[in-house]
Amino acid sequence: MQLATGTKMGALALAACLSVSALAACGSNNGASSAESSTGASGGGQAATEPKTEISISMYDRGEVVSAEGNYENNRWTKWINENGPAIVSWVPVPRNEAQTKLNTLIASGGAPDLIWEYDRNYIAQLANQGAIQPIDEYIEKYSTTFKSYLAEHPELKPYLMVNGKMYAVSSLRGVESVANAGMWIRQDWLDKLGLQAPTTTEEFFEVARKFKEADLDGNGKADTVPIVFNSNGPTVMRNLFAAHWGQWYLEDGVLEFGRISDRYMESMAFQKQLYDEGLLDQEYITDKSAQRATQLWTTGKAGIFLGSWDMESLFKDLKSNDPDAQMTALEPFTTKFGKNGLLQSAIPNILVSFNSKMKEDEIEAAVKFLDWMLETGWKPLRYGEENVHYKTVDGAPQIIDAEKFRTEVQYAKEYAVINQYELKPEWFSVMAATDELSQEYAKERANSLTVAMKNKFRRDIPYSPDLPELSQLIATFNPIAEQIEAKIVTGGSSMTAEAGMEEARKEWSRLGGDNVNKLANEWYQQNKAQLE
Amino acid sequence: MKVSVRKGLRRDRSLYLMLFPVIVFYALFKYSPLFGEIIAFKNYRFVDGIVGSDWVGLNNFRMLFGSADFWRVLRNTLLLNVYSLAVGFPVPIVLALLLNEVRVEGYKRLVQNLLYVPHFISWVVLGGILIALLSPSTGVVNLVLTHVFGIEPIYFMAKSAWWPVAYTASSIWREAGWGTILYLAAMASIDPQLYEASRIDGAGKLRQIWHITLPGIRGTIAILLILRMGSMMDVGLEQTLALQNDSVLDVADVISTYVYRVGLQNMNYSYTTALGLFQSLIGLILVVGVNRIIRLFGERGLW
Repeated sequence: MQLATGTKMGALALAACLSVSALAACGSNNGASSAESSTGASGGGQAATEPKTEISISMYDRGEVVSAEGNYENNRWTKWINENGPAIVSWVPVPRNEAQTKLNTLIASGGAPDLIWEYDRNYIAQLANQGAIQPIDEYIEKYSTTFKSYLAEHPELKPYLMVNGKMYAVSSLRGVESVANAGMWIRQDWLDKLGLQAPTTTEEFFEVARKFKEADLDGNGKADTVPIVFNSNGPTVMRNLFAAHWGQWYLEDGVLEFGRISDRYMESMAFQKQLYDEGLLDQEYITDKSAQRATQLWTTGKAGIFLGSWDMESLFKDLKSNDPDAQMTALEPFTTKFGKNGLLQSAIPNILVSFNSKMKEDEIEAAVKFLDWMLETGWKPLRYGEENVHYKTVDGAPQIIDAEKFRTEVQYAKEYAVINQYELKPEWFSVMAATDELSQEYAKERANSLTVAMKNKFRRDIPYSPDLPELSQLIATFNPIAEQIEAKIVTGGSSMTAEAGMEEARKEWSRLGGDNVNKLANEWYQQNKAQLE
Repeated sequence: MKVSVRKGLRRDRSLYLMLFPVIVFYALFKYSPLFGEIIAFKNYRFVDGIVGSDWVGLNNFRMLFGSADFWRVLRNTLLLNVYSLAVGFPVPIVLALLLNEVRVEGYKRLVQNLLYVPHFISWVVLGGILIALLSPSTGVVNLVLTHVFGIEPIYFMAKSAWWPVAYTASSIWREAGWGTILYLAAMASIDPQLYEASRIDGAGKLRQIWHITLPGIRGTIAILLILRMGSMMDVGLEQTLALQNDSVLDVADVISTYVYRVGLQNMNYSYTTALGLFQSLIGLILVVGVNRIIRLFGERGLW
C-alpha cells in the first residue's frame, strides 16, 4: 500500500490534501463564524465602547519580519492596526512565491480568509468564476465613503475591479515607482571612451553593441566582452521595443490579436536572433535562468548593456565597487520599425482585494469600513513608520533616520497597507537615500531612470486580457511550446528563421484551438467594451 | 475460533494498543485522502466542494488521452525513467561491490562519506553547479573537451540530444552513493565462511564477487527493482525544474511539471487528478507485474 501511495504526486497530493481537510473539517480559526465570537476583550486590553468585528485578511509572507519583531501575524503593526483601525484583523500569511497555490488550497478547504488579495487580476477573475468571491457593488455603495469617492476621482481604476459586469474587488492606484517596471542600462563611460552617443535607432543600437564587442574595454587582451546581458526581464524588453508583449492582446482595426503571434512579435524575434547570431547577446542566456551569469558579467565590467528593470541598485553598487570609474545610466528605448515604444509598465491598480463569498453582511460592512480607514489614514505609518522615530520630513520628503532600524521595524509593514495612496517622487530619491557618496550617486541615476521609464508609453490597448477559461487553458499549453520555438529561433542559427518560427508558432496556436479562442476573445471584447473603457 | 480471537486480543492487548495509532495514522492520512480521487470523475469547482461538484464520468480521461501534450509528457517521463533505470540502477550495485572490496577501513569510510554528500544538497544548488560545470564558455567539462580532446565546446544543457544525458548523470551524481547503503548492508550479512571456503578452492576476487557476493544480494536487488518500477511514471519535480530550460522543453517537459503548470497554476484540479490517477494505476500495474516476474525467477518478491 505504501507503494501505491508512493507513486502519487502533484495533483494527487493536492487531492489528498483537499479531502483530508474535507473529512477532518480542518481546524481553521478564521472561518465565517468569527463575527459572533468577537468581543472588545481581544482588542489589546482596551475597553472599546463598541465591540469591533473580527475580519481576516490574506497577505504575502516575504520572510521580512525579524524574530525580535514577532511574526507576520503578531507584531507592533498588527497591534497598532487593531488599536487604531475600526476592526480586529487576523492576518493569514501565504508564502509569496506560491501564493496562488496556497490560497487555492485554503479556499478549497474552507479555511480561506475573509479578504483575499492578489496582484494578478486574472487570478481574481478565476476566483470570481469559481464562485469563491462575491460581488460587492451594493456594499461599497452602502457602507463606503473614502473608497467610493476615491473611485469617483480615479475612474480609470474601475475596469480592473469588474468581472462579468460586477465589481469584485477594491484597489488603489500604484505609485509611479511601481508602475515603472522594465528598464535598460548602459555603460556611459564606455560610450564616452569610444566617442559614441546613446543609440536612438535599431541600427545605432547594433553599431554600439558591435563597437563594445570589439573594443576590449576591460583591457585584459581577451575577446571576452559580451555587449548585452539580461535577466528574466530581457526578452520582455526586446519585445516591448517592438510594441509586443507575450501575454497581451492588441487591438488592430477593432479586432483583438494575441501579442505572441503578432507580426511585431516576429520582428522582435528577428532582432533578438540577429543580436545572438552576431555574438552581441550572451550566448548562454538559455541556461542562465537566475541571471547569475548576467550579473557576474555586468559587475565585473565584461558587459555594456543590461536589460532588466528600471531600479537595479545592487547591480549598480557591485559594479561600482569593482570599478569606481564605471558609469551606469538608464538607456531610453530606441526607435524600431514600429516607432518608439515604452517598456513594460505595470497595470495601474495595486493589489486587488476581494471578498470571500462566505462573508456575511456585517463582516462585509466591517471590512469595507476597515478598507476605508486604511485608504484614508491607516496606510501612512505602515509605509513611512513613525514620524521622528523612523523618519523625518525634509523638503517634503520622508527621510529615513536610521536605515537599519527602518529595515527591521518598518520595511515589512507595507504588506498591511492593502490599499493606500503611497507614491514616491523622483525628486525625493536623494533626500531619501543614505548619505554616503555611492548611495547619493545611485539616487541620481535612479531618479533619472524612473523619468526615462515613464517617458514613453507602454502599449496596452485594453486594460487586461479576456478572462476566459478557454484562454488560460490554451495559454498553459501554448506558452511552453512557444518558448521552445522562440529559443530555437534565437539560438538555432540558420536552422530556423523568425518567419519560419512564427509560422510554426501560429500553426501550434491553431492546432491547440487558438482560432476558437480568437473568436471568443473578440466576442468577449464586444460584450465588455463598455466595462473596458 | 471466536473465543480464541478474543483470548488473543486480551492476551496481546498492549501490543494491539501500540499498533492502534499507526492504524489511525494510515486510515486518516493514507486511506481517507483516496476519497478525494473522485474529483477525477467530476468537474471540481471550489465553491461546490468535492462532494457537490458535478459528475462528468470519464470526460477528464477522454480529454487527457485526446491531448497531444499528454502523450508528449508521458513519452518524456518514460524515456527519462528508462535511461535512469538502464544506466542509473546498476551504478550503486557496482559502487557497492567496489566499496566492499576496499580493505583499508579509513579510506573506505572517507570515500563513502564523499559519495553521500551530494544526496544532502538541494537540486536548486546542484542545478546551478551543473549548469556552471557544463557551460560551453567557462565550464570545466568543456575546457577539458577542447584542450585535451580538441572537440568543439558542447552546450550540454541546451541541446535536446544531450539534456537527458546530463539529467541522468546528475541523478547518478546525487543518488548513486546514497543507493549503496542498502547493498552494503546486504553484503555485510553474507556468511564470511563462504568466502573462506572459496579461497581454499582457489577462487579469485572476481570469482568471489560473481559466485558469492552477487547471489548474496540478489534478493535486495530484486526488492529495489520492484520499488523502482513503482516510480517509473515519476520524475522529480524539483530536479526537472532546476535543470530544464526553454530550448529543451521537447524532452524536458514531464508529467510532474505538466501537472504543476496545468493543475496547480491553472486550477484544473479534476483534469490533473485524472492524470495522477492514471499515473498511479500504471505504477501499480508495473509493481505487480515485476513482482510476479521476479517470483517466477524464484526470488522472494514484495509479497
